[in-house]
Amino acid sequence: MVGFAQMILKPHLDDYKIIGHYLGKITISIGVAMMIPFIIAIAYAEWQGAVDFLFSISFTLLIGAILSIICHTKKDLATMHAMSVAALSWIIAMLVSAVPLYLSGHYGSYLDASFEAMSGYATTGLSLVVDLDHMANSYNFWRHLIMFIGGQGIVVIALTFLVRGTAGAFRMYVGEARDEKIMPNVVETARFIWLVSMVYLVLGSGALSIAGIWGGLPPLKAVFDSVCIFIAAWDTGGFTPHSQNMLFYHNFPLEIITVSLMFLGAMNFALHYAVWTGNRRELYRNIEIVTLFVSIIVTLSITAWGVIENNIYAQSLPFSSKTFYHLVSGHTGTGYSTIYPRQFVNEWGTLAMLGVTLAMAVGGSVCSTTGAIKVFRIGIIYKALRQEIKRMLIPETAIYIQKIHHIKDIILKDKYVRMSAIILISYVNLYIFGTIAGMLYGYSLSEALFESVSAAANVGLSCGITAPSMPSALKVVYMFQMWAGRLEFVAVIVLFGMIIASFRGKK
Amino acid sequence: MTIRTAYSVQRITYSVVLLMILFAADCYAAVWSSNELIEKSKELDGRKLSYRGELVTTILGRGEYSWMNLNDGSNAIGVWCKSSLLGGVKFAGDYKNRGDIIEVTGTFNRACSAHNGELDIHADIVRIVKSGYPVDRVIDTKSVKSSIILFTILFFIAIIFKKRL
Repeated sequence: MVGFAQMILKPHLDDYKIIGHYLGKITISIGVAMMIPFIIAIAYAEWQGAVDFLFSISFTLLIGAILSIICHTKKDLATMHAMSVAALSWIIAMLVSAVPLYLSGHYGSYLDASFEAMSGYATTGLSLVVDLDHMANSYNFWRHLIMFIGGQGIVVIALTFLVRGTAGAFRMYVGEARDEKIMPNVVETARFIWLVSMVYLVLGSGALSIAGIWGGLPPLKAVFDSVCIFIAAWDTGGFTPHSQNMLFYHNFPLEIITVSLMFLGAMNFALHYAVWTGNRRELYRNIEIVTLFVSIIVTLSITAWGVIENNIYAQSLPFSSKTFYHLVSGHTGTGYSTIYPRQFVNEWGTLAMLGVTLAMAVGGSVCSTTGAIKVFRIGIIYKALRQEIKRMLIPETAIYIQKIHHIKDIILKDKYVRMSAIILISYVNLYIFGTIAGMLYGYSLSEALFESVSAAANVGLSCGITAPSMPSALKVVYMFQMWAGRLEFVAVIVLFGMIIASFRGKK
Repeated sequence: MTIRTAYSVQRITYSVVLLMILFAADCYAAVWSSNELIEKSKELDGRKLSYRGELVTTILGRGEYSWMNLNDGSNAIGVWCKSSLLGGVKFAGDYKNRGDIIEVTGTFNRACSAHNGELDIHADIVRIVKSGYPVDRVIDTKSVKSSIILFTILFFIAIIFKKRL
């Protein structure tokens, strides 16, 4: 019997060169992006920040240039290359982006800075930063810019600016867990994603700035914070410029705006396109929106029950706004919070934490900036279950066709159900893996599960486990969860397959 | 009751009252940390207490009242007080400044009904314990030299291998 490793071919030197060449291009694009915080450092007269970013830009561009030169090729990417590039680009982006963060002096180690960078790229929002309130604006903006790049997709950025729109480019795009071709051409799709984001950037930041100024922020600070908050809300990331997260602002209108942005960020870009082009009926017909609505009702009920049992909020407004805000924050994968992490454990209790954990585990839409299993797949599995039950009830001779509505009516095929089930099982395994790791370090089941799901589903809500003092091994586990969860496994599995083939593949 | 017994009762009463005053003063003066406020929020809810921390970022003025966030090194806690109490505040902590260390005394709320369920302190007394100051940031010359070297190497590589990039 022939094993899997013997069936796959050992990659040639050319295969590595193709991967290296495209990785080089993506690294260069990260180096170019670092010029934005460099300019900010100069604008705010943060001279050490400017020096650190000059060093980081030079270092990153040099790495990218060396990779591109050594691995120079004109060959296009096959699926294996594209998936490996997608998976590796997140690792290399994390390593180079952690350089300025580490140089800022706000991280205990390079591992902590790398954790922050991965959390940013994966739009998770878990943070190991120390003394954030004294961080320079340039580094702080870099944290948020990382989140924006990750939310848009590292590959999407490279596709927009540096890579030609080839078939290989589309494969890279798919490798980054973006499987919807909204426009006929993948580069046009990438540019549409940018257009949508830029329009909301202007509108969202404007609204947040007004709310910030109303809340007592000086105008310049309000604009800076608004851009950062917009980025993290729209990209369902969860970083904020202050150590208290959203609690810093004590600002209810700001909370309402961020809830709206979180919902927008959790919507499929294809749905944005449909609504933008006048198809507003899609908003209540789409399988994702319907499933999201049902899931929010169910998980909100569980969370609210838990909060009521613990009798925390005496009045209805604080009760409903706190419960709803954190539920939406968890469900959309954002991770914004207006309570302290330990309050989940000390005050909300196990049942409320379970409600939020379930919401985090489900997540938002496919082809959005959210992580987790995603409502589309939950909707498909529910429809498949309904189809099976109906098949059992109707006469055997009758043919029953199940349809789903996602932009258009689609017949539910077995391959959709299979793919959804595979991804769902993979996520559940990833959640369990992180939970066991947390429990091995002495945390309770509810705490370990909450933090693990938050990391793997790229949410960023914390119950207090994530801290600079947590064990290094657990940091690495959460980093792996954030990476694998964000890429939805396929690219990661292909990368591991390629590594195995490099050693044990057939020549 | 004899005069001697009456004196004894009087002494004991005075002692108890004195002890109670001292105990109350001690409770009032005890400065709680942010971790204690968060971990013991149920126990401390509604109590008068003191908290001390560095004012970070800015005062968020809301007319007659203001918010300030005081960071004690572990967490920052929101403090709601009359704006008139903040006249002496000069520095708020950020990259370029160390903020004033402020001690507040007031009512602690684990889920404030007036402020959308926030964990906060409504302060009656605000005292600047230590004044803040501007931070003098010195540029690290080693990192300047390293940046120049890397940038130069990059420049020449980009020119030499222009076509392969």
